[in-house]
Amino acid sequence: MPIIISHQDFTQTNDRIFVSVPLHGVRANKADIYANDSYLKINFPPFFYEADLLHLVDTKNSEANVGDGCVKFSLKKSRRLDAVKRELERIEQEKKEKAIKKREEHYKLIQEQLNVEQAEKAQVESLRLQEKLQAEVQLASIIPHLKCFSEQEGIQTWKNQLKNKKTLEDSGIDSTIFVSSKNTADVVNDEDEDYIDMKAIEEKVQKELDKMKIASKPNPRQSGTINFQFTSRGLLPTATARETEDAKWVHRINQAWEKDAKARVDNLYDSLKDDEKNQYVAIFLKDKGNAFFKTGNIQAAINAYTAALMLDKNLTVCFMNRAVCHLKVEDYLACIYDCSAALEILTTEHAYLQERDALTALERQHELNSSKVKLFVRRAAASTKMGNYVDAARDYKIAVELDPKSVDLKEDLQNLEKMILENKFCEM
Amino acid sequence: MADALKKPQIIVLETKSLNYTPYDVKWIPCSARFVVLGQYARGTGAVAVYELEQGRAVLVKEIEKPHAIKCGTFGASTLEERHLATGDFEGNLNVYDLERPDVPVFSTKAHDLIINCIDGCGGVGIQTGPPEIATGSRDGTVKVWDVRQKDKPVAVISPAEGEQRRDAWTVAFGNSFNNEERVLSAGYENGDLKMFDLKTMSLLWETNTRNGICCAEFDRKDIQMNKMVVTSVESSFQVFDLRTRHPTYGFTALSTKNKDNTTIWTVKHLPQNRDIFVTSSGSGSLNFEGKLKQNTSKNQTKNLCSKYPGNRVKQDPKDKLNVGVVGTVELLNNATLAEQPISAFDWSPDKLGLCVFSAFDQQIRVAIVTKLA
Repeated sequence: MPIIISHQDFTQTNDRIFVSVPLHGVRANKADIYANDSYLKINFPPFFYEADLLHLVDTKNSEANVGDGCVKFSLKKSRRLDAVKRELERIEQEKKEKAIKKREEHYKLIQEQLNVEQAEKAQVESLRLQEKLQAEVQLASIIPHLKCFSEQEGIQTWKNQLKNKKTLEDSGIDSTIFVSSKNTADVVNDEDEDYIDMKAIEEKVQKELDKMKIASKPNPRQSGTINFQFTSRGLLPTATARETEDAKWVHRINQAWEKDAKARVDNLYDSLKDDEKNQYVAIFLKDKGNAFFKTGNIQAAINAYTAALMLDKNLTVCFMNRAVCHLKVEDYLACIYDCSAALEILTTEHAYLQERDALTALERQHELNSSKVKLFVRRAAASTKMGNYVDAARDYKIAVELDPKSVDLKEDLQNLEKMILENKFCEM
Repeated sequence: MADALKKPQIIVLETKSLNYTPYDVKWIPCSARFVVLGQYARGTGAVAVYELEQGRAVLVKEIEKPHAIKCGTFGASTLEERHLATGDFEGNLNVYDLERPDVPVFSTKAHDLIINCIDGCGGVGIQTGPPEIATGSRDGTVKVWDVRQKDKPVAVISPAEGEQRRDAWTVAFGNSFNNEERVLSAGYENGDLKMFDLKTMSLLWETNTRNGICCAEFDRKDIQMNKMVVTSVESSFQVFDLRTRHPTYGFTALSTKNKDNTTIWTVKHLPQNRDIFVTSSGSGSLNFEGKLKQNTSKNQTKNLCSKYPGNRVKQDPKDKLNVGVVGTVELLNNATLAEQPISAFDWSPDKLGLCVFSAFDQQIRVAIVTKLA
């Protein structure tokens, strides 16, 4: 039977309870202490102490000290803390509820707005649908009416209506014609018997009536022509305005081109400047020469080629073309000179190419041969014109060697040789 | 909202997608059929006849012609015959019987260049005067043909020698109230509007609106000339009062501009009420203009209707001659029905408010306009 201790020292502060239980000889390992948030117990055989607390305590922040003949509890009051906590919680809860309520109200409002708008729309839609149905019904009722109208009966009734109108209008005219025919019939009447006259009268009347029916549409109008003039104003839209604008634009472009051309021409003879530029200019001049040749302006072509060659001495094409020009103006010596120069350049270039790149040299062989043939032929032509048949024959021989397939060359060569023999014969 | 429902509403009954480009649509008179004229992608002409059955347009016949067809009219043929006169891209004028469309009833090479516009008078609905077809072409000439006289036009209206040619974009007949009188007005691409009197074969009146004239129409062909609406590029159109002609000022005009700044392609007067007309614009919208019995004058949607003024004639103070007074034009309703320009429009002459129109989006639409009575 435990000895129950009922005496303790109890003090409290604002947030702590101090209970001191006197237990003689108490030691930590011998005493069982239990505390929960409203109950204390000490079991120290044979002693036993328990206490119910009026309010809750926070056992986490509490401690019990055993020793020195007593057990001292230092308990943290939890009532206030808990109360504060609870209060906070309550407030938060209230807030949340308020928020939820607010949202719900808002949502309800929006829903209601939507409903109202939908109702309005539905109303308009229904009205519109009604109208549409009405219109369709009306249409459906009319269409069969229209359909039957397009059939013969409809047209017949329409025609009859027309006729009735017409007869009302033209009845005056009708009657007069009838009267006139009657008059002529009267004249006939005197000559023949009665019933034949009646028939004649009837026929005449019928004819007149038919004429009336056919001539329901007036004859085509007299032809005529009407001439007029369009108004001419400054601010006419589209076509004219665009034309003048285009003309202005083209004029501007031409001016700019000419200015640019002048600038280019000024830089032409400045051969001390870039080599590349010179090349471009030379090519330009060669093209100019070609153009002049095509239009027939041979002297200009010669000048152009000369200018080109001044800039670039190795333009074979210029030599070749200039040779042709010289032929045309019958300047045979110059032609021979040009052909020779061209041939020289061609051979040297080809030799260079063979050294560097044998493959391309092979590919270019055919081109080279054809150019050479041309040049030889030209030189031969010039020589023949000058009377120098021997040189001509020599050139032709080379040409034939280069181009064995051409029949013309062989023919020309034969002719030449014939002429040489003849000449020799003459000289002799 | 309820106010808006009192105005004329346009209800699209049927939209049909085509595999050719439609250039013109016309109702076949006294029937529930309409014909569409256009061009296939391969450059040949398309003539298609559709029939309205229970609110749907059903294809009845589709014919291919050697050249693309630009315009057509039933105006010069009688009700029994209902021949369609067409102008094509090569300048040929062909008149077809739609029951046997293989061979034309009448054919002539009217112009060297494309026939831009065609109009017929003296046929269906217009009982006075000889039946005539007017064609206007890119070569600047307007020729008047009679089907009974082959190869030789009744009238040739051309610019004088040496004049630069301007495209004729539109032709319209009018003032055909007896067998002799008839007036032909032609609109050109430089804004010239010229009115020719076919009885005296002379130029009656001319003027220049600043923009090229896309379409001109008299309010009625078979009455003494009363009113003409002329539409042009840059969304402006003019209403001319043709009852009074001042020797210097000519006819008075009221000029109106649409807000959307696109070409106004066509104008068509309602056959049953000559004071209501519709203009179709390059933004794909139709504007109804006219005069209603009730007064709906609020400006929520634009409403146009022409109102006659109290006094149609007033005196010019300077020379004491009569000058016409045009009156006002009021917008009744407008509706945007396509994304592309609506290039052709036709009212049905039989059912009030029924119309068909085609747009450059290769679709034709049949619609009905309510509350036009």
